[in-house]
Amino acid sequence: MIEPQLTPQVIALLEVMLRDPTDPWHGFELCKEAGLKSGTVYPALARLERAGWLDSEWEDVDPSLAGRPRRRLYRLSGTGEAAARGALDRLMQQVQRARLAGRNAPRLGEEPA
Amino acid sequence: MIGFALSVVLIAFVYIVGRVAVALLTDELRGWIPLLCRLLVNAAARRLPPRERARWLKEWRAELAAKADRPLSALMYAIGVHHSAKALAAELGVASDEDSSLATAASRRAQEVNVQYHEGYITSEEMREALRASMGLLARRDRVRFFVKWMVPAYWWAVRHYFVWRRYHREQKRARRNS
Repeated sequence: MIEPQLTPQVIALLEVMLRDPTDPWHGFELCKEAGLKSGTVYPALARLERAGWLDSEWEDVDPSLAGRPRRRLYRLSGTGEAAARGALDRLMQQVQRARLAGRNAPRLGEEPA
Repeated sequence: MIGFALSVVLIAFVYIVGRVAVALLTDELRGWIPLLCRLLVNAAARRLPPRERARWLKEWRAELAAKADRPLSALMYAIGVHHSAKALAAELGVASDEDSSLATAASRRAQEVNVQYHEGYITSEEMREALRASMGLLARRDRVRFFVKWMVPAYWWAVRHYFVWRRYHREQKRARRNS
């Protein structure tokens, strides 16, 4: 499985979807929850789907009863969930290391230890 | 006193006319927004690889239908989708790969047809038919290029050959009359 490029938009989507990995999401709902515009959500979804992190399927409703066409639903795949958690954990560790390094770094004008 | 009454009447009149105008304008916009949204998502879908168009168009139309009661957010959504189409096409495995390979194939076929016509194997009508068939395979933006490069000369040759043929027949007729 190829790891998709983790842009801030992709990370925001993964964070939302990892709240309940079995829950299906449709595009507009993801835009709202992740605070992203539709212009950034769809390329990110396509990237995650291509990497095998997401599964997508058409909503299981009768369009004539629902009064609207079926929506496309996205769900984290089994492997995608584990990979996403791993990738986000690694990212958090990197951020924490960078923070610590920043805290221990000499301030401007100080001599390095 | 009369001046005051007149100004009250005038203000009331302007208010009523303004309200009616705003209501009409809102209704008009409400009617146009769904059409504009459809046009935007259709345009976005045309930028995608041909094999992916139907799926994404269906998805976007379904989202728009679910937001039919919120025209402004539907419009914002459609604008976003339109804006992202190029990035999405790039994500979907380079849209232009398929398009450009089709464009190359169509261009090669057009060259063959052109040679066949100039060597007299096919008529100008057959040439145009073959070119039209090749053009049908192309994405819209490539079709314009193809039309200018191949179809316009094909029609020009057809017109020119008609005049050449007519002049030849007139000369033949004149020669027959003189003899």
